[in-house]
This record gives sequence, C-alpha cells and structure tokens, in this order.
Amino acid sequence: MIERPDPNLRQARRRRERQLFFSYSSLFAIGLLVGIFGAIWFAWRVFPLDPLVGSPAVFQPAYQQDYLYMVSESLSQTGDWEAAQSRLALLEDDALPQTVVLELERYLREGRSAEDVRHMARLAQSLGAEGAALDLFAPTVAPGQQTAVADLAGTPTPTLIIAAGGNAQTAEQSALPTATPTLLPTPTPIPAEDEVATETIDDGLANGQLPFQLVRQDEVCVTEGPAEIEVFVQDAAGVGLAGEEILVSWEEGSDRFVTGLKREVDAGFADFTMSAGVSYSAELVSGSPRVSGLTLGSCEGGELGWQLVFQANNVGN
Amino acid sequence: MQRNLIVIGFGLLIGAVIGFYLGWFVLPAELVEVTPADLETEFQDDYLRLIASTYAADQDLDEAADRLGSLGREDWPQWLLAETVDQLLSQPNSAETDHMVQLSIDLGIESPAFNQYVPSAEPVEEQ
Repeated sequence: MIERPDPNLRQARRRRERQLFFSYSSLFAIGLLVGIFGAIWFAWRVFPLDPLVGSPAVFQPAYQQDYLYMVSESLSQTGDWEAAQSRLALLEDDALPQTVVLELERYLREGRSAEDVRHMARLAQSLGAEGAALDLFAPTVAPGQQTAVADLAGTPTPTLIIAAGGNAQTAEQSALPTATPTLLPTPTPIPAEDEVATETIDDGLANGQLPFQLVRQDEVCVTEGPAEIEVFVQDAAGVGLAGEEILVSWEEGSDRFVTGLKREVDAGFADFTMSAGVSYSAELVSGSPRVSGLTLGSCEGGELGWQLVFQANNVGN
Repeated sequence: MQRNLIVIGFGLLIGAVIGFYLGWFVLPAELVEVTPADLETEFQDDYLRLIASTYAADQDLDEAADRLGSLGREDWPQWLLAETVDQLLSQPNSAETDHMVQLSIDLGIESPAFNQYVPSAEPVEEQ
C-alpha cells in the first residue's frame, strides 16, 4: 500500500522553503549593497587609483584666469620663458594658445590696462597663437626671432608704442634694448565745449581740430540677429583703421570696443549690440564728434540699428 | 546560521567587486574647481613666486595680500619669510628673489637677511 504524503506537511515545507529563499535573497542584497558602497568609499577616499593632486589644472575658472594673468605679468618681469612654460603646462590645457587669446580678447572687452593687454598678448604670441586681437596688440616678431621673449636678454627687441587712446597697433623695431614701454602721448583733458571724448588728445585737438570726423550716419535695417551700432573707422585715404577704440555710453553706463576684431568685414570695423529703449552715444576715444541719440528702432522684418563712418582728418592718422 | 553568513559574505564580495570597479574605472574620484588653498605644497610655493612677480609688475599690494590669503595659510608670514630666505640663498641674483624680498618687506616682514640684500637684477620689462 502506497502511503500518500500529508498535504499539510507538503504545504508547510513549501512555506518554509519560500521563507528561506526570501531570507537568503535579503541577506544577499544587504551584503551586495554594503559591498558596493563600501568599496566605492574606499576607492574614492582611501585608495584612489590616481592620487588626488590639487594643481592649477583643476582651478576654478576665476583662479585659472588669475593664474594666466600672473604668468603673463611674471614673464614680463623676469623674461623667464622656461619658467612660464612649465607653469602653463600645469594647466594641462590642450588648447592653451586659444585659451590665452580668448583671455586677451576678454581683457580688451573689459577695458583692462594697456600693460595687462600687452603682457597677455606677448604670452599668447610666445605660445604661437594667432588671432585678430593678437595682430593688433602683440609686438612684431622680427625675421629670425622665434618668439617675442627670446630676446629679453638684451639684444634689440621690438618696442611697442601705445598711441593715444590705447591704439596699440604700431610696433616698431628699436635699435637698442629698451627697459620700459613707451606710452605716447599722456592723456589730457579736452575742453568741454568740444563735446568729444575727454580721455585723449593729440596735436590736432590742441588746435581745436578733432582727429576724426563723422562722414556718414545711416540707419540700417537688420533682419537677422540683434540691431547694432556698426562703426567704420578710416584713415584720410578711406582705408580701414584697426585698433581704434570706441566709447559707447548710455544713461546708466558705458563700454568700449575696438576696431579690427572682425577683419572679415573690414579692418576698421567694430560693432556693439543695442538694447531696446536705451539711447546711446558713440565717439572715438582718440577724438571725434560724439554721436548721440542712437536708439534701436524697428523696420520691416527686423530691427533698426545704426552705421557710423569716421574718417581721419589728417593723412597722419 | 552558517548558511546565512555564507550568503551575506557572498553578497559583500560581489558588491565589493562592483564597487571597486565603479569607484576606480567608471566614476573615479577627481578634484574639480579647487582654489589656491587646495594646491599641493610645491604648487603653493610656486604660486607664491607668481604672486611676488605679479606684485612687482602691478604694484598692487592689496591684490597681492588677497592672493596670499587665498592660499588659506594661517602661517603665511612665517612661510613667506622662509620661502623668501630660501629663494635668497638659492638664487641670490635672480629677478624673482628681488620680487619676493620686495613683497616681504612691503608686507611688513622683517629679517636681517633683507637688510643685507641689495636688489641686483634689473627689471626685464618689455621689449
């Protein structure tokens, strides 16, 4: 006679097996989680694969910018290009020349001093960087010179002459080593009745004649992008002048921008984005009539901006 | 009981393997956005020389003091003095030595070593 298993016993065994399964799964999951988090903690804090080194490469952006500034200033003071190179290498920036050029352009936009701009331009040039801003502000490298800093020991070096209004496009070769930059001329006030830029002056201004005159002022309908104040600065022959600084001001502030950064348009071209409801005035820092009442208007399918053309009065400009 | 320990130990082992793999290879620890205070000592020493050279260029003592402060060293006067004397002894005729001595003096740090020191290097400044 075959003895049939007791159904109650079978159910009890199944229940016990199920409980054991869930019990083992829970224990396994707990062990797994503790193992994962514990190992991550060890891997990050106790045994990191690469040691955590606080270096300039992981600086906050503001400190990286300050670091670049300090390297450029240090280079200007010591002329030690090798030291500058090893310091720059700590930034571990694959696109370092471009980074320095961007920094130089930021200096220009923020109106940093001519010294700061020149030192940063020199650093960028030493790195072999290229760009419109660099063309304007870096010293000219004579044939045979690999870098601008190669000659700091005392051989003849390029002398950068900053002209009135921060126009630093003139780089001349000096026959003798020079120790200090030449800044010509010293900015002096302009009589108020001239209603022109009050920061710079030259011989023309001394005689009551401004170096630049406004030869055209046109409204321009812009259908793509924001409306701008477009400025063209030309010499007496009508050729675009790069490096001319333009002061644009409005009720609550002012800003400066420089011609020559958009050479694809013209060497003497610069633009400034306008905001609605603001009345701007614009003038050349090196001396021109001030053009006021420049407001953003509307036109068919776009916004109305302004185009100003300044031309030098003398051939010398 | 023994079987429970085996199960939890097995979970720990598998978890540790996964955790180390994640912590080392998938999401390795790295420093980001540090300040000068987080720099390694050797970098801080060089940073100090940069501060001194920058001060020599722009003559902005407040800015130089701020930069020194950003290094977060409470012992900065002693540290600056020690670094400057080290620099003076190792490279007595360098421009950086001039800069560090000048910065130390202008920050009110005194040392007999500075009294004897005569800056020798001409500033290189611009071509």
